[in-house]
Amino acid sequence: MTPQVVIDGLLIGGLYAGVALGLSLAFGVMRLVNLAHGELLMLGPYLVVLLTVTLGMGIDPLLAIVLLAPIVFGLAYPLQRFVLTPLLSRGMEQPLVATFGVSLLLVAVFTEAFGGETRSLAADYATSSLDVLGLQLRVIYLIAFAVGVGMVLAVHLAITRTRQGRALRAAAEDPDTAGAMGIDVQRTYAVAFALAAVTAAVAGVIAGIAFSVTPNSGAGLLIKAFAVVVLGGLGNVGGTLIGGLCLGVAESIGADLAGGEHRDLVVYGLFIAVLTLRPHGLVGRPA
Amino acid sequence: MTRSAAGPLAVVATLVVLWSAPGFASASTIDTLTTLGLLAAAAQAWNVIGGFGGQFSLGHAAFIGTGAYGAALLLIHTGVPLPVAVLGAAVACATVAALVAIPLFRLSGASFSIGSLAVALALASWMTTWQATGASQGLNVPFESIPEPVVQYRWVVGVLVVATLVVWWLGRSAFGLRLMAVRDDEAAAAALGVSGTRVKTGAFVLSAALAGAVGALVAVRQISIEPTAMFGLGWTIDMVVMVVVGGIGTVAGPIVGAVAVYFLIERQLEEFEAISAAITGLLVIVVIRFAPDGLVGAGRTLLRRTIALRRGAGRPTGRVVGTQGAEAP
Repeated sequence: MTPQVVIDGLLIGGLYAGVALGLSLAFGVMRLVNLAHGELLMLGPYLVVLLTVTLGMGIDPLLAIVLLAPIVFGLAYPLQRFVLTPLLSRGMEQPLVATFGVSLLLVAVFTEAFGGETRSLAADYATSSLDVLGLQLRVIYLIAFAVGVGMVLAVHLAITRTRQGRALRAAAEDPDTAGAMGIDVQRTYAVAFALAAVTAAVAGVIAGIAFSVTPNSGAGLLIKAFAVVVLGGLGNVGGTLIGGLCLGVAESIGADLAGGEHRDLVVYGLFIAVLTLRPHGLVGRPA
Repeated sequence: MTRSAAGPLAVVATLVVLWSAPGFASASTIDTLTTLGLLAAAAQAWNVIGGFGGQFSLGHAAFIGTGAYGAALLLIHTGVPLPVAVLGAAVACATVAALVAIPLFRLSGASFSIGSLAVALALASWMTTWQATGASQGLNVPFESIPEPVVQYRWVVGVLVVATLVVWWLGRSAFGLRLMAVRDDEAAAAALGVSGTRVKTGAFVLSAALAGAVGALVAVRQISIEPTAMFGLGWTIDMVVMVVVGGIGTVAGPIVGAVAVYFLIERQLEEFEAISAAITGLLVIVVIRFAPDGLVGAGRTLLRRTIALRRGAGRPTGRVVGTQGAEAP
């Protein structure tokens, strides 16, 4: 094991924190288990493909985020408002099934619109790297880390320091009382979900540059996102960062020791182990 | 004929028709029915834990895969007859289920769902790299142990009947009642001395054994099996969708759902695979939003209202006015 392995893991871990952020937010605010989170991630790269390849716009994938963010927000808002929120009062299983349906629907739409082949988003920094103190730092990993950590911090600050964030926490804590105090709970939930979807799509774009995606990549990323959320504690936005870094480093070291082809097995094994031994997360306390 | 005799008679008549179908139906009809039967039996297996146990497993493809691989390995290395291979697959899956139940049932609700998904993906990832099971190439069932299509068909009907009987039994046995009590309120059931973990594990093992038998039949039908198709998400999606569409936790739901999803959507749109998948996804959303008890539940409600109207009651009974459209979470 070399420092390079740990550094790579940490940088990718920052991205994993961003990948899991939306899942954690939706669970923390609405107790919603979003099985379509992987496909919301995939919305990012496929919207970039739509803009750059189908519509022929010559823009950088990272700049395309500015254009795709409002689209994702506009798609996700009504989904929560009119489909998922009405199901929340019927327990955990029905919203879960509905997001399962959304997941199937989106995979089918991606396959129909963009074909089933592997795609990666073209950018000239996708393969370049910097040489710092003898370590090879891939530029896209540095960007991934910055964006992932930045999004987690931004959401954390927005929730804890702003008026809207306070409304969100109130709606999460006790929707009935929050409603009685004049908070539009329905709208707050929809905004939270739409924000979660935007962070997912942004993380997805970076995953699409750093790695490559197929319409079915969502399921694997969903598991990684869940692994992060479980490591950091369910519904704990700040914990997401710790969870992401832990997963990144563990995956990197595991792949280094066991061989790259066992990378996924290491992740799933670790995930099941943590879920079993510490269901409240590595840093959290039992509820 | 009294109403109580009509049900069992219809069931017996259906079974007789299904069993003797190879005598009058074409080979392609039998082929379609075999596929349909496998899907319905798999869905019914999921219904044991997902519907009656209330444990939303997303890892059931692991048991189709374990069953298929178990049966294939038995047939390759020992050349046992088919019934032994099917039983062996069921036992193998029951064993795997009993082992993974130990960590999984420390979890509840959504954590269980995600944990079960992780188990299935872990097995899929293991099988694609393990040389003993042919890695990503998978396995081939030896030619001499593959039965005639008619024999395969009757085995599928047999497994579907057994799975349906198990589910029917759950609805009226002490074990089934304990299981449903745990599903509906685990704390209350525990207060009455019912161990949630124990009954859930029992149902999980039962469900896995049935799925394993289905997996064994999938193996001899497909001849060549590979890890992604067997352990991947595909089978889980089929099972969950069919049960949800038909009606979670009902005896007929998985069969109705299999007919609706496979026969009315997948077969009719065979050339447009993505569109059929999109419609399936949309159907799941619409059903759970507007008819959470599935087609069977919707049919039942319709029937009850019709009867109530015929009797001149004027308006449907048994419905609390004012609960419809309540949205606030």
